[in-house]
Amino acid sequence: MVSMEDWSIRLTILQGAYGYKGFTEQIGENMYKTDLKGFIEAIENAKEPIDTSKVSKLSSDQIKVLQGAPSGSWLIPLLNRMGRLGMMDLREGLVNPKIFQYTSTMSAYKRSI
Amino acid sequence: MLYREIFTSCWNFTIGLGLNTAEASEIEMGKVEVDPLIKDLKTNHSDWTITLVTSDEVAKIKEELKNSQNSSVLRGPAPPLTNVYIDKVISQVGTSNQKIEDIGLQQTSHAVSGTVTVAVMEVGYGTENQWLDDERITYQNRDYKLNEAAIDFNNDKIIDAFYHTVTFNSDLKISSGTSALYKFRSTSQNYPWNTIERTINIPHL
Repeated sequence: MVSMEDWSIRLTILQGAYGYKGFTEQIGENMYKTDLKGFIEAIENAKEPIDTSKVSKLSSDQIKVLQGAPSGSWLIPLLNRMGRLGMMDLREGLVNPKIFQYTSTMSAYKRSI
Repeated sequence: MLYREIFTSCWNFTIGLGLNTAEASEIEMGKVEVDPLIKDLKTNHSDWTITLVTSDEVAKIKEELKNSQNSSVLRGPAPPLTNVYIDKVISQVGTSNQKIEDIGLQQTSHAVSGTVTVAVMEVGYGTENQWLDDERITYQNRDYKLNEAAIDFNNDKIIDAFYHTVTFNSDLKISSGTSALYKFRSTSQNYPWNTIERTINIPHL
């Protein structure tokens, strides 16, 4: 059984690495709150897709990349479950767009000092 | 990338052990002494979980290896380390009071309590080390739970970045009313062999 702590870590990775935005609410500047229980409930109990337009599954190439790090063992079934439920459109790619924005900001910041 | 190396060696180890232990008749015929090998392993690596595999599992592993050799593999050289940033600090992890803070260029996080997760983005391939104050954070240190996820920016099947999380009990690691410095340092595994270090000051409630 996955602990609440591990569910939280999983959601953190989905948000930070792959840009998942669900079950998150902004509560202040740079501060967010997640509905962890709602997320777990959806993953474990949802019977029908939440958004049929997003129903998708991981490609074999995406699976190979995910297997390149230890978390692949749980990320692959979790992402496929989210894809089946239309919680995340896996066809759009698995990357948080913030990474590009941040990388360019960091480059500009480093140039400025 | 220690875990990846451990994972790889464990994988090889499992296969080797499987081939040596599962087919008992072959072992006897070949006079492969498995018991001393396991005994040595248990002595030298007390923290390893040694599981004997069945003939069916050996066949499955052999089949998987055969298939993996036929399938396409990640192409091209590993990208050098180009960026590291501390993405988030999460407090009271796993509770209804869980709070996530986007760090960005900040040097101090909000005051934390309970279980804390620090998330770090590492762009490119680096060999990383992490500390909380003077304490080194390693997979062997049971006070810390480490995770790592792979990211491919452009769907070219080459891993471009790794997203790391470290989770620990801040109530044990940071005294109330004081701060601890979390540090992530990575050195590129390829030219130009550069090192990037990021830190965040984490105060405890």
